[in-house]
Amino acid sequence: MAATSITPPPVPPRATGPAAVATPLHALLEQVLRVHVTDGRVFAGKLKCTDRDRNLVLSETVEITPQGDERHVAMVMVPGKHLTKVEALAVAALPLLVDQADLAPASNHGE
Amino acid sequence: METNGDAGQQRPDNGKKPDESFVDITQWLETETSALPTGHVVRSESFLMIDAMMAIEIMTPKMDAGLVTDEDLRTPALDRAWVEATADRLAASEHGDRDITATMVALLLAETSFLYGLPLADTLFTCAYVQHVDALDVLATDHPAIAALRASIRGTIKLAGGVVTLMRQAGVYEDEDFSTEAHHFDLLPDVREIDIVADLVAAEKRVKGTDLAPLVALHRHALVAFSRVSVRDMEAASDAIGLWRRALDTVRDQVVPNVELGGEDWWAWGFNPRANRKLVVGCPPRNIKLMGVEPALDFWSKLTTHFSILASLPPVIRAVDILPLTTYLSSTPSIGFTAIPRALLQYVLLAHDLRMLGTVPFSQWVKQLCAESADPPYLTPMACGLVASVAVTDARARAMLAKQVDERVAPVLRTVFQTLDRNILDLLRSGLHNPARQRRMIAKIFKYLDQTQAAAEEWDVQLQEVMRETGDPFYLTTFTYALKLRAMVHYIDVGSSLAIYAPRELPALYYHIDHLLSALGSTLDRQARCATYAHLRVAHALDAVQLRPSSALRKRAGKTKPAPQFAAVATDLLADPEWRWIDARRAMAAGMFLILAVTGEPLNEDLGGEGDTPRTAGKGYGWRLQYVQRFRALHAAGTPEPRTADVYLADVNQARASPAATLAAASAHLAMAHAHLAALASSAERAAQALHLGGLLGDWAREHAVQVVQGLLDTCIASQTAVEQLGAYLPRPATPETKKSPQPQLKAPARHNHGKKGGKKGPAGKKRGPSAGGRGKGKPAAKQQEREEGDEEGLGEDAAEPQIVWPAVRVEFGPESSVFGRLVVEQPEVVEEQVVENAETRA
Repeated sequence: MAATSITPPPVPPRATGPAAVATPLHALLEQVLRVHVTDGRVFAGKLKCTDRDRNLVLSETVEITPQGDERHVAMVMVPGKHLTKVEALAVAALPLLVDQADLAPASNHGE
Repeated sequence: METNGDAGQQRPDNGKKPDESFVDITQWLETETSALPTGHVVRSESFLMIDAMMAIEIMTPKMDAGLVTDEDLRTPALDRAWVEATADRLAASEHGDRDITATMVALLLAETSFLYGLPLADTLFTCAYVQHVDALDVLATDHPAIAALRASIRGTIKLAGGVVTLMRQAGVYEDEDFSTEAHHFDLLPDVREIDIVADLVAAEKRVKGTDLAPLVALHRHALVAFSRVSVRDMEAASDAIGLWRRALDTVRDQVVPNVELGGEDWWAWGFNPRANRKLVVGCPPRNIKLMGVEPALDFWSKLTTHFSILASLPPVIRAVDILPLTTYLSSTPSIGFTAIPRALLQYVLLAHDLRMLGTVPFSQWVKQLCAESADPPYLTPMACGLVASVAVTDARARAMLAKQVDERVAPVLRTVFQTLDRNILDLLRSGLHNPARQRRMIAKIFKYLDQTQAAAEEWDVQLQEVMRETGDPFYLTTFTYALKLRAMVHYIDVGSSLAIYAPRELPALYYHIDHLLSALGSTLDRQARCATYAHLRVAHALDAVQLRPSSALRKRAGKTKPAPQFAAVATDLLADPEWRWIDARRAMAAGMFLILAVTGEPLNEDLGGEGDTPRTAGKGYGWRLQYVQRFRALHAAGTPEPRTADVYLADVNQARASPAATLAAASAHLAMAHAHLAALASSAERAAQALHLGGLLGDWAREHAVQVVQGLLDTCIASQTAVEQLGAYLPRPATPETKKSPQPQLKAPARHNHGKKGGKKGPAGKKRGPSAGGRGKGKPAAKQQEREEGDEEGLGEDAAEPQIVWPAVRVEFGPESSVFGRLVVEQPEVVEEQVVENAETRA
């Protein structure tokens, strides 16, 4: 899903600032992400919120342990400092990426 | 292995598509997010602040149940295979008994932690042996030590199951008090208790002479005591409790010293504190630390005391005794009621006679309360009045009256019971909660009782019509009002146990206690009149019968005598220990208020505002606002008429205007309290009656009562000493040389004028107390006239009032203190120097 226009949220007032303007990040909202954290677990859920520090709030999340066990954990907040890898569904991510080089883990990309 | 089982939530389809459908956006995300301004978020429209608050923070141990720690990675899985292998190894090892003993001690600590109120998932069932106890079945046959372990675990589980069931049935737990969540653990519901006890007996025999035997005995006797009390087999329960204590002593003295659990890590004993973390997704794991050895043994010791008390209760415990019993159990430090699940008490009471919270309608219980109360009987005089009325009328009138009773009195009583049902039930239940929740419940109760009072008056009017009475006594109103006042005093007392009162609030606190207890004392007077009236009515009716010519009626009346208790009930009530106890505390409160008021800091009017009045910017939290907020609950109750901040201020100022008179009045109050308390303390029976423990068997009730009364007496004596010390700070009487003119008559505070009928107008011109007034026996006349106060010496011709520099006066609360601490005067030596100086100056 690619959002072409975002209505600034009515509350809170802070959201009417620069972040209210549509950014590529907005297009990632409500998309399924797979988030890998430092202890080896993976959290798969829909992105609800993020910020400058890459803190991610995911809803309808499933926790997958290194052993393969799955557990439904609903709403979680994954601190950015514990992220090792973030993946998105290709169908949602590809339109956001300007350059195919973005797909490579080590490649850099600018705005 | 956990799987997604939550059908309520829709799973994202991450698991269904192949990995190739996901692309790595780590770098992209980093770039995009770093462009965001600080403090801004990108969020979905449907994502609200409340959602943010509910989200579990990953990688935070206190919230993240699934956090994989280094410990999780390096320690072996404590599963069934581990249990079997370990048990096998222990059975074969020469040190196996030692390790099993350590395991059982660890198990005891886990059990204690559960009984303390912590969840099963974080205590007992963190032990692999408990989770897989059936894995020990085979080995137990051949190995006594394994059999002991197995039997003890089963006994522990059975006891835990009983407690969980009880807590759920009683419904008095709160999450903060006790967790009943069992997470589908197998609590052996289908295994008979008798079989488990038999296992324990057999296992104990097999390990006799070892350290394991006392541990097995402990579990066995605890289970038996619990079950015997529950079926009212008090004799067997008492025996079991005695054996339980003996086993506990042996464990403490002989077993525990030989056991080394090895710090906080109990993996070796089969404990994984995070074993069930995934069960508690809804409630984040707390990583609970189990109790230590000493606290656990102390806890068990208290538990035996509790059970011993419960076993000593009479077969049919009176309803009126239950509340003081719970108060006693919760407040006595040596027992520490808060250390055991409250439902254990409920369990006993439920099983005792099913009168309280079982299937019997509670209205029946309320009726019992009224009928059997040691206080002035409420309904029985009414019933006697009815009987007397019936005795003097002919058959047709009698039938008509009986019909009226059935049609009018009974419905009224039913309404009464239904209305008071909830209040009394809540009042009793409140005694079984933690103090904070208790306080909240009590506040609701007395507000509701205040509303009920109006209805009670209507009921009394209806009853008067039926009984053809005039004027007083207003039985039900009095009962309701007394109940409310008791609840209000209890409310303040519980606040004291929570230590929520700051030192500067104590004068206001005692001010309110004095007010409430004064009203309660007046209410008891009124109840005395109720009983007197009923007695006289019955006696009069019987006399009237004697005058009638009908021999049949005379013969019938001759067999009808007023119930013996009415004959002396009026005078007995005034000598009633409870009345003395009430008046003693009232006097204590009055005295302490006066002392703290006269020696305290000025009440700065510039600070704060009343109610919703905005505070002066930057000025903080003034006394007036604090007063209003602290006593809001009392004021909201309506009656007795609340003492507003203005009234309080006026009384404080009045006390300060005449320090000598105030100290004299305080001294008089404390002397009154002393007299009452000394009278109560001299008789254990009277002391027990004062605290409503008189009907309970067992020396513990009387010993406790004497201890409480004596404690307050000691406090009173200490406070009297403080008053004497403060007297040295008063200005000396004027000498003939310095005396210029006759001194004005100073009035002492005229607040505590109890016993006057029709209430008393206070300094603010408001009528205080209930309209009933009362006869007040022996209450001090606090209005003191014509104090002689010499003007301060050497102050010159303007005769300005000398400023008394009081020493610091504080209230010292001890471990046994209730809301009354002892007054302590600091820095008395300064006073002596001043006195010497003055004497020298004078010389």
